[in-house]
Amino acid sequence: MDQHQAMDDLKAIRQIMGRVRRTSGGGGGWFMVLWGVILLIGFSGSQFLSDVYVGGMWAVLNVSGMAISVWLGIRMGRRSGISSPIWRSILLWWLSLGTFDVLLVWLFRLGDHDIALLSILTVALGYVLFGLFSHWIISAVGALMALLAVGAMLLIPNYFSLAIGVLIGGLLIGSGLWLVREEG
Amino acid sequence: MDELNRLIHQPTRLRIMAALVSLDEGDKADFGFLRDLLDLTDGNLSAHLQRLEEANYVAVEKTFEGRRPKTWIETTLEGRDAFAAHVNALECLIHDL
Repeated sequence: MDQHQAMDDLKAIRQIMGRVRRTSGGGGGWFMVLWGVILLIGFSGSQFLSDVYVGGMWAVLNVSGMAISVWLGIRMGRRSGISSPIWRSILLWWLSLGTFDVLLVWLFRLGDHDIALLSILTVALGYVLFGLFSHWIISAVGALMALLAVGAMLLIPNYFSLAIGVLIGGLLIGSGLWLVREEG
Repeated sequence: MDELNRLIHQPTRLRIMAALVSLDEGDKADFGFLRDLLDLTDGNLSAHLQRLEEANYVAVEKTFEGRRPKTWIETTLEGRDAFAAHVNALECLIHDL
């Protein structure tokens, strides 16, 4: 075998690897878009709706979000032709963080604003850490999410829910769509 | 210095291994996915997979999804090592080491 053949082989390897990575890594952005829409509706609704309806609205949004996420995960797995145990890990990851939040809310009897801030900061932490193992943009989104939430809490506390709904929901939708386009 | 691996060196098997190695450890590729990705026929892909399986470079798992049979393929640790050594040998050849 000569150098030219070796170069051709390496080129073929890189091409195949690139194609597989584009196929297997694609789709994560749609989860960000989905949860961006949920946060946008949920927090904007929390700003304007009476407290009586807010709990029910979040319950419907969260259950729908989880159901759609599972459906999306299964559908993407089937379409990609790749079976990966990573989806179970991701689901467990978010369930663990959610359980941690519920425990904190229960232990410290947090109020509505604190619960909202805690939820956003937990999601932000989840994104920052998750991005370290997947795509840098996810970590950047997590960090920006935390900054926006704290900024909104300090600067416009009366419109906190609306602000994080629009800013963080918009951020997730925008970055999710960018990621979808990036992943092809 | 690593040597070229005769089994992996064959162009179709090289592409099969490249596709499987690019997945994370524990991930499996569907037979149909590999066939379409590499533009092979069922028979051709099966024959090459059999050679790789005999060398313990890949593991083939046959399951059912509902009533439809499904075949999943993944690389073994031995397969990943052999592929890495082959790529290393190619790089050495290019750099004339």
